[in-house]
Amino acid sequence: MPLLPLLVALCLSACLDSAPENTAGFWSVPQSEVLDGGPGKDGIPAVDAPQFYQDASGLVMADDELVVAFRFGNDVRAYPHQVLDYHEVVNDTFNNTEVVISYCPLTGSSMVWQGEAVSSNQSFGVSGLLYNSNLILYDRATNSHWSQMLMQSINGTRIHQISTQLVSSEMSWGTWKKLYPSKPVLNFNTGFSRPYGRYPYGSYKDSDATIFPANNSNDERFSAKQRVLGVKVLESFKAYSMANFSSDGITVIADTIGGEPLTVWGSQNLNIAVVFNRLLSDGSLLSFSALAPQAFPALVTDDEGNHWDVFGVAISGPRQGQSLNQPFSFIAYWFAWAAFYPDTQVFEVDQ
Amino acid sequence: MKSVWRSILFYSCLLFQCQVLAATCSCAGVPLLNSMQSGSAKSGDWLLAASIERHEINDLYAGSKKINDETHRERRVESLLLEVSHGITSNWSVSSLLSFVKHRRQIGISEGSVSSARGLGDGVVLIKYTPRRLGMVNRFAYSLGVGLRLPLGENTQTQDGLLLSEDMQPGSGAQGYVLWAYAVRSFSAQGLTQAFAGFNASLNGENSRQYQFGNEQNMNIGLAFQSEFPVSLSVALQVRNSQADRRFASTVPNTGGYWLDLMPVVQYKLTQQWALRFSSRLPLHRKLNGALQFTSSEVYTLGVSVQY
Repeated sequence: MPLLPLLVALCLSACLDSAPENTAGFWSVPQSEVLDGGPGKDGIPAVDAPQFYQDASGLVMADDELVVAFRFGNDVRAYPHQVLDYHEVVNDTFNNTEVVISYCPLTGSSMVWQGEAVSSNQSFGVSGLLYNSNLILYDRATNSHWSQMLMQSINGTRIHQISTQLVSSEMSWGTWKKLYPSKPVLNFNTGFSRPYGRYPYGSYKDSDATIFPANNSNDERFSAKQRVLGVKVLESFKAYSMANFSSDGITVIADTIGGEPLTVWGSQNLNIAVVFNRLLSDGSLLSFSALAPQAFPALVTDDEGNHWDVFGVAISGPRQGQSLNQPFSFIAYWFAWAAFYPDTQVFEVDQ
Repeated sequence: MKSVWRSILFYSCLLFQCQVLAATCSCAGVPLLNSMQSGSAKSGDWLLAASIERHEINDLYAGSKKINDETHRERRVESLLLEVSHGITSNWSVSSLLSFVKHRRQIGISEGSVSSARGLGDGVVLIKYTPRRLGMVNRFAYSLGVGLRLPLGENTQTQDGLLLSEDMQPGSGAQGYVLWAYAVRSFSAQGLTQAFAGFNASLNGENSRQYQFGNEQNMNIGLAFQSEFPVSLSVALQVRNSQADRRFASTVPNTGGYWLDLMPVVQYKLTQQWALRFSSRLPLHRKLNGALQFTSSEVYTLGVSVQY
């Protein structure tokens, strides 16, 4: 009776076919700390043909939901976390310039990069891999892997290459509606069927628990999921907790990191935190102070009488149209920032 | 060598004249308990069984609503399950199950990027106690069992040097405990029509990466029909409940839930000792944890057994 051996042979045939070719190459981060997140490459699909609501009235969303706001020239757009939670990457175009908006729900970090002109395809996708619990993107031109929070390629032919960060800001939906009510918002019609509006990670945002391991996880200067504005200048690092900022207006902090004079603007009620260089390219050193809500979308003014928006663009005054330089910075959960930048100093109010 | 295996595969398919498929549970572990033969060996008897299961995990659910997956993801688990049972006494028997597992994950929109892993999976050893067996007089029988889930399989497989996710590993890497029960009632002395019910539960431990597959419970109830012909049929409803997986002692989102499945089985007795068995698990309803979860779309099993 040959059936039993045949069945065994059948499965062995399935089990013994050739293994996939190893194309790993060298990683600039410890390879053992790069983990398969589970969905697989492109299992979390990037949005490649984003459509937009014409203005904020097109979308009904709770005011405390977060969006990533981005300005390119005079074009300002918002990308709701409710969409980014399911896609993590949006490949968008502004005046023929390709940009990639990325957001990692596990580390709470968003970033906007400019496409790099290595080929006609400058778009990015979600690799399905994680480093320190954080999104690893891949570029579709070379398949190189990029750590979002390092803003650097960590594997592939573009290894060690640093991407170009563009100024963006997270803010609450309520703030967006006050600042830019007539500007476009990423449409929930992404081409994918996803339950937008239903947070896909359960109680993750509100607990100290992480799903994947991260380095330096015993740094308890803040709670794990405290949102902080992390700043890196040369080899100096500083973190500003959202709790450092006013819950009724805008806090403006003049600080120095790595020898660079910086201005930090933050607000708990608006849910914004951004940092810019106070020293301009013409040698001027500006002093900033907060504006009242009547001045929206301007948030701060300076000693020259300029009004500046959340993207560091002067929207009125003698420097109208000029932009402040932004150091490497973004908002992230504390555990994640501390994992990548363990030598971070934390800002304390009495400094 | 490969062509030899392919030839065997081809002629095997011709012989069986049906798809050669298999199954696992949607926790991406292997369905060890659900795959075991439901009976218990009589004193001195040996039961050897081999089956191939194919489990497609391609349905995308938001709670209890099925939604489209435009990523064209194909997730498959194929398993070879080898079972040996032996009746020690008229009441006590022991069963063991060994698994060989192949995982495959392909994302269609990603130019077919494929992840795969294969190897020895977990095993189960179960001791069964059967105080009553069906007979001319006894129309009701039941068995109870307890056992161990043995972490025999690999759970550190890599691809391109990167550790694969827990659900892609052939083994769970963690010991567990299992409970098993089965009852059957025949409606005639010949036992041609029977009603049966089964229950099993697994309590899973934590592996070295502090990952724990969710504990699960399965209950089924069904009817079995035999005839003068060598073909027997059964159909059962199965309810499966799986708690969410845990890592670092916290819940892993989008894991666990409830499943209601229909399970038809056809068995063909080749001889007094040999039998072929084909079964399937067809989804009827799901209510899954979290916002979005891939789950079983098709499960097929083809097996052969010999008892002597």
